[in-house]
Amino acid sequence: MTRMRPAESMPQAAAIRRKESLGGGGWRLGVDIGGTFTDFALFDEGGSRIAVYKQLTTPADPSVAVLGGVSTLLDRENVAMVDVESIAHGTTLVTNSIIERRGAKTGMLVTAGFRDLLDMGFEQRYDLFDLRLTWPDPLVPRRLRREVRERIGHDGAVVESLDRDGAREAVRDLVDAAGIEALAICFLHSYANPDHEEAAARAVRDEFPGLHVSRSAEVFGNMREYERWTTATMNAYTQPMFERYVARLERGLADLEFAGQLHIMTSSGASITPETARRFPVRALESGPAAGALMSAHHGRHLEIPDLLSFDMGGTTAKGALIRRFAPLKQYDLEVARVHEFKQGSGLPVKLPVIDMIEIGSGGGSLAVVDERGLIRVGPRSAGADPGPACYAKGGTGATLTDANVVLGYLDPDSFLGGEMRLDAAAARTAIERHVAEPAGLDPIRAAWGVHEIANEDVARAFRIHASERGFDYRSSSMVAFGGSGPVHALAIARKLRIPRVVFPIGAGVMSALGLLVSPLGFEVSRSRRVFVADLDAEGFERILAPLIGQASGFLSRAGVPDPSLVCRLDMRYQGQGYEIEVTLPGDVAHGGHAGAFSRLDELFRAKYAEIFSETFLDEPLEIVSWKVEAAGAEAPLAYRGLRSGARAATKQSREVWFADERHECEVVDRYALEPGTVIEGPAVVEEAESTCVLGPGDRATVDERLNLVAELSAKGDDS
Amino acid sequence: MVSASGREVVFARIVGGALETIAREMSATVTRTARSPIFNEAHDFTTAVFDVAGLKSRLVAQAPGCTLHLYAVVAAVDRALEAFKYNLHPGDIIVASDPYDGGTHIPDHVVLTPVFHDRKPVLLPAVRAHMGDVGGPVAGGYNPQARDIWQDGMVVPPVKLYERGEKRRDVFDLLVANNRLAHWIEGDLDAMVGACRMAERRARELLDRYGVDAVRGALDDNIAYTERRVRAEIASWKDGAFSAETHVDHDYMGGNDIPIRCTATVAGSDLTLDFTGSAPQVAGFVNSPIANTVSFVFVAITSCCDEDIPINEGFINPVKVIAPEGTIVNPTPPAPVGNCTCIPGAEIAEVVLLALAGCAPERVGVNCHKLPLAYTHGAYTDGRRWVNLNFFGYTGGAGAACGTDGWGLYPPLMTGVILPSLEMNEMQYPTRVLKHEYIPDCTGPGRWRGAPGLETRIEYLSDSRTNVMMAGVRHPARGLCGGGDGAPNRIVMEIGPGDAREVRETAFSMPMPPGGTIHFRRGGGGGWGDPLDRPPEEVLEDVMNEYVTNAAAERDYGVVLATDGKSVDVAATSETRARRRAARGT
Repeated sequence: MTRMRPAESMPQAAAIRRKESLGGGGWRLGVDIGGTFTDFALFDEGGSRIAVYKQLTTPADPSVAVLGGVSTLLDRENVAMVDVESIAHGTTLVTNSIIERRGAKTGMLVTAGFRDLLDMGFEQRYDLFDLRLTWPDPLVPRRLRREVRERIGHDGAVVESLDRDGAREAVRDLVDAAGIEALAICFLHSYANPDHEEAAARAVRDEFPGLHVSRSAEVFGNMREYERWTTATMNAYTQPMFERYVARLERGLADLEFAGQLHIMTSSGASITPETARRFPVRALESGPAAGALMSAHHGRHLEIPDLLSFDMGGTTAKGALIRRFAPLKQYDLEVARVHEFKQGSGLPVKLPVIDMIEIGSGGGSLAVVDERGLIRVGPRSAGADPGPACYAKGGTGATLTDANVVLGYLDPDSFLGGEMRLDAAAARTAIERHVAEPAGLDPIRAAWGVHEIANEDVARAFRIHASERGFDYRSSSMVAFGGSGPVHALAIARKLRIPRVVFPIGAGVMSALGLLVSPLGFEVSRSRRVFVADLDAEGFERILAPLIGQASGFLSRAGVPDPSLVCRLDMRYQGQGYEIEVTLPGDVAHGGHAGAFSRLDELFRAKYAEIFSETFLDEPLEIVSWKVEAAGAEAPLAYRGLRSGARAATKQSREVWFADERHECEVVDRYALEPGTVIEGPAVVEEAESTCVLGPGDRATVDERLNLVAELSAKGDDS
Repeated sequence: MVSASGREVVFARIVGGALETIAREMSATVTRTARSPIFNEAHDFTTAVFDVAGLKSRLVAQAPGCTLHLYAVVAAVDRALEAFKYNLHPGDIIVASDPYDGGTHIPDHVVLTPVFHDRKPVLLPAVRAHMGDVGGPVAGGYNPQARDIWQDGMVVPPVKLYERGEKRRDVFDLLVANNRLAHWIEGDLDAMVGACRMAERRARELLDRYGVDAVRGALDDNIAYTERRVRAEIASWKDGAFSAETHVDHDYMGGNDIPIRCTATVAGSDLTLDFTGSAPQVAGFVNSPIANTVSFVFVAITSCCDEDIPINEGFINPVKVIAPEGTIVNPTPPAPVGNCTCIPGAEIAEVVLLALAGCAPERVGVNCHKLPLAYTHGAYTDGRRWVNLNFFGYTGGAGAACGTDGWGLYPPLMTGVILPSLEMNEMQYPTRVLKHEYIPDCTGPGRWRGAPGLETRIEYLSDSRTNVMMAGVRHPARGLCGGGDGAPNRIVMEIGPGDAREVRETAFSMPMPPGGTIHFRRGGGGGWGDPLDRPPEEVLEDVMNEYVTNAAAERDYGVVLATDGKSVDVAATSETRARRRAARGT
């Protein structure tokens, strides 16, 4: 059994791989742009080798870091660009341009009588007692929304025909007087019949060929006007910017002699071609975190653990996702540009297939304060990466979670980020003393432990609520922990949740870049159309599904996947209910596997209904509201046994570590030196370049053949 | 492994947080498992956890939900404890809805269960929710023709749904037999029971882990903290007595302009709210049982305090409410009370804010909405019945606060309710929304203005009947601290060509043929502060966005626009404003 050795043995290994790679390429590259770092993962299918790299993000033009990092990593690994078959790319660019309002000046055509829907939203206050609530301004201000006479009914019938001249005139005014660069066309019930949106788009295109036009039914054809329209305005708003970015990136890669395929990661966990991404940039929202969850699911499959909590804790926030039966839970709602980052409802809603994630205001940079009750609070205010925690010695003086972890001995000042960054332990201690210990009347160790524990409790609580809202039994699942701070906190949080097992994958700091390597090509289309099951026969059922199947597989065949797998999901409900239940048709639609599904709709719905509600059923007609087809290529294989990061880890044999009031002289383990099968008994700290796993007394971890650290929790209950 | 001193650092926060998590998990359970849209869609319910010592309970944690339920549940818990004081066992689950025994209106049912530790009830999770139907003469429980409580619906005094863990089939059968929505009521009650049982398990684990004394000590700390913060807030208000009066439009039984009075007396950190002088109880169903009155009072007060203060018993301790018996704010049986959570709930909160404007002007804001309820019913082609609540007609109308213009419909009093999708609504019911848009000049002007008024036209495509209960017609939403009132609400039923009938009070089962439309004009919210203090550029922005017309800019705000209509005539504005102020003598 071969296995990647730590840094010193690499040159030889690289040479071997180079020889293998000459045989026919086979290298795949994942590139994830985050707020602070751009991460790279390079994988060689032939040799099952994997190498990772990090470099600072270049916010002014993110493609600079991408292109620079690609060159550096390929050079370091001695791989030629022509041998790279594909690059999977995740980016925060679309999200950031909405948050920072750097998109195009965008106008909007709406059905006459409904100009204000973007302002009305759901009419829901996200904070019950805050009298001074504010919302993000709609991306299109009221004065750039124009009304057009037209009306389509919910059944798709034309109630009032489109006033084409009116549409043209309105857009003329928006272009001439207001100088719009992009336009969102949003009509009521366009999901049922897109003719009017299409006709208006044609009329506008003839006259203004340079205008970027997004149609609400095309972006995502779901019922519910507010979310569909907001999603369409986001698509229009980000399109010119994203188009320029992709062009720059493609040009830059071509200059580096890249001849493979570029794929862009989406929020659903699937990747799309640059061509599709240019049409639907909104699909690229929040793709980085989605890639991390995807990687957790991948580890679950590898370890044969079906149900998982994916736990990612970084510098400013923690992110969680639930994996059920080897797949991340998905949903169709996302919120962007929240006024209050952790208050649901304070942002702009997006209706698209997304991996269902929670964001928690606890990260390494979260500031700890003592409130007037003498109680410690951690976050959601954060020192971020700049100035960062006090121990970064970059001007931050506040006490952060990372400072507490330094005081407790969990993080080693000398080997942080693989030794590339020295931490100032004295500054950490001073910050904890000044901002926590003194105001709370505690000694510094207890204060630091309190900060650590409060953060654990906050994350555990958020997971509890998230899981119970989704009917997910976390007590019988396992956890996958990653991110710079995740492995420091994971076992304590798992103990609070009574989760018996935690997996620490190697490469905790670059999980999103690794996840990009397993992201399959895929595209999901949706269309709302209400049909009573009783009014439908098998033929009619097929007639509605067929165009969706054609559309979804069309995207894949254009991306070079001629025979994708197709999954069909229906949103169904009893008539009169305002909420739908998603029913997945069994079998692969592409290969006729769903042929019998139509006759079993009632049974399939009841099974799902019983899972969520109860065994009793309503005496109401059953209806299908939305039809969704997801086409996907095969998941890319990622069989590897080691990981090369080019960084060094532990510098010491042991150090003083605190667990509550107990001091331990704790073994420090170099993660890169571990052999499969090794057992580590807690208390211990296991260091890798970007993170540290903390094992408490009584915990026990085994190194598996992939160099994952799999920890079983000591049988103690939640004894905080 | 952890010493006691280490624990103290985090203990109070963890216990408080754990109970809040339990309340939120209860809320998630109800949303996920209840049947009727009023739970799943509108979220018209609240979950909370109490602690119990003897027969006295204290609110210790709550989950964000529908605020008007929150404080109402407090009285219900004490009443249930009293009803079963010698007969309460582990596994018991109690339901209650009696407006004259700790309730508000009958549709709001409380379900609760005691958590035992060492053979004593220690904690008590509770869910309060609006049930889709409660029997009685009118579906849904809003009967404007009710003359007594029995015509409101079926009253449920505290009874056990479960006894020592066993379901009482007889009680369920009684409730189901008296309900039009038999297929929903049992599922909804099951969802509430399920939430209570989940909470009971979680709470018991908490007690086992930390012990009763430690948990209670932490809760004492939390309550004391909230009380300290609330007292500090009240102490910052001006001492003295401040009176205000507002009016309920009508009682649907011929009574008009019904006064509600409140005197707020601030003495140091104590606040007394005295409703003496309010009208005697009325014939129609707009009487407010004491628990409802107290609930609206506390929601108003909570909205005046910092939003980060944890909501628990500590809010209640510094405030005394005096509501004389036999008045509209504390009726005696059998006065009907069916509409109390809308009217006079809105007016009770409004008069509290108006009174507090005298001592804490910068704290009062986002005055209550006055909901012109209109719901339409009919039958599908297969004969099954439908009821559409016409939510779009009520949108808009929240008042301003010091520092912000009004937004949306739901003020703090009724949050949690979500506006449905109009595409979905048209799919569910034979209806078409023809217009749903802001209209200019309908809102209360002020330094900060109210939310804009709205025009909504809803067409019905098949035969339908509509019930209307108007509010805010004679007495629209009041402005605060010098801000103007919102415009009155209007509903016109356009039965057919040339047949338009304005509803000023109530319409009962008014028939409309296909093509008939309901035309809502929703008055905007009240303003806050003197409109002459609104910066001219903000008025200009409102004119550019067509919330305010040029004429109203000058009339209401004293802002004169330049002839291009796109900038302010600074000189003319200063001159106009100076003249107005001089004329007022201020």
